Amino acid sequence: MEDNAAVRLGIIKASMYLGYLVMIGLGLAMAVFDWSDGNASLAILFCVAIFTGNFFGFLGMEKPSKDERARKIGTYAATYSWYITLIAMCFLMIFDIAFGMRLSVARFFGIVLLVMVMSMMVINAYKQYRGDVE
Amino acid sequence: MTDTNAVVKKKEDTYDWYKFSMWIGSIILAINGLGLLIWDNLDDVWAASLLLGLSGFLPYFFTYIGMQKPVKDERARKIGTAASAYSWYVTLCVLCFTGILGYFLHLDIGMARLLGIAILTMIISMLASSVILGRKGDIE
Repeated sequence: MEDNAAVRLGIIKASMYLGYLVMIGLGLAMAVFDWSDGNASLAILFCVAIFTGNFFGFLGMEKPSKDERARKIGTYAATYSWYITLIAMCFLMIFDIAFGMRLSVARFFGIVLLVMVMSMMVINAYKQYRGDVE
Repeated sequence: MTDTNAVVKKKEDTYDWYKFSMWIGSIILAINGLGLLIWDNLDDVWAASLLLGLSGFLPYFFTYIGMQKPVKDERARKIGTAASAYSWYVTLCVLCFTGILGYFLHLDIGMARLLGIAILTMIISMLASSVILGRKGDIE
């Protein structure tokens, strides 16, 4: 029974890392090459499907993990990531106006996806590595 | 004993002030989001009001969700971080579906409109889940 839970958790983690990688690649492609076509939309859909199915399991907020430490680390990482994303988005807009950057929608979207996903991934990994959530 | 009560009262007053600032900042940001969404217009006034909303919201965010002094209360922290996790997830889904639907349905979504949708989703989902979890009293 425990083996099954461990295998499921392993699959959830592997799927989430795959989702993170695809999302980072997608964000980079959109931010650098201003890429916005049907393929980009399908890649986004693919990532959303992965995140929708696995996010709360990955954070330890749902079965099969429901582990207090994973949950604390995951929710902390999401909190910092949320905060960083809000600041990044607002300053991106302020700089866009102040410096006349004229960012396209695809580029803006790519940068926001990159900031969201990378900050979440890096903070989660850092907190897990440090082993302490205070 | 009186000194302790005075300290507790002062802490509560400070926390109330932080909460007030957070709510004002949130309201300004939500109005900004709505304005950007409706008028799809980026100019200096929007940038300045965005900065104003941020300055009310950002300095007290971690105190509001119980991660920093003067509160550092385990229940508030659990509720705040869980609410942020839900909000993060909702924001990612809403942004991605806006991009997907925008492409396939040929919707006219400019950068300002996308930013408006993102800010509205972030602020409303964060505050709503925080209030719901706080009312429910249980975060399991």
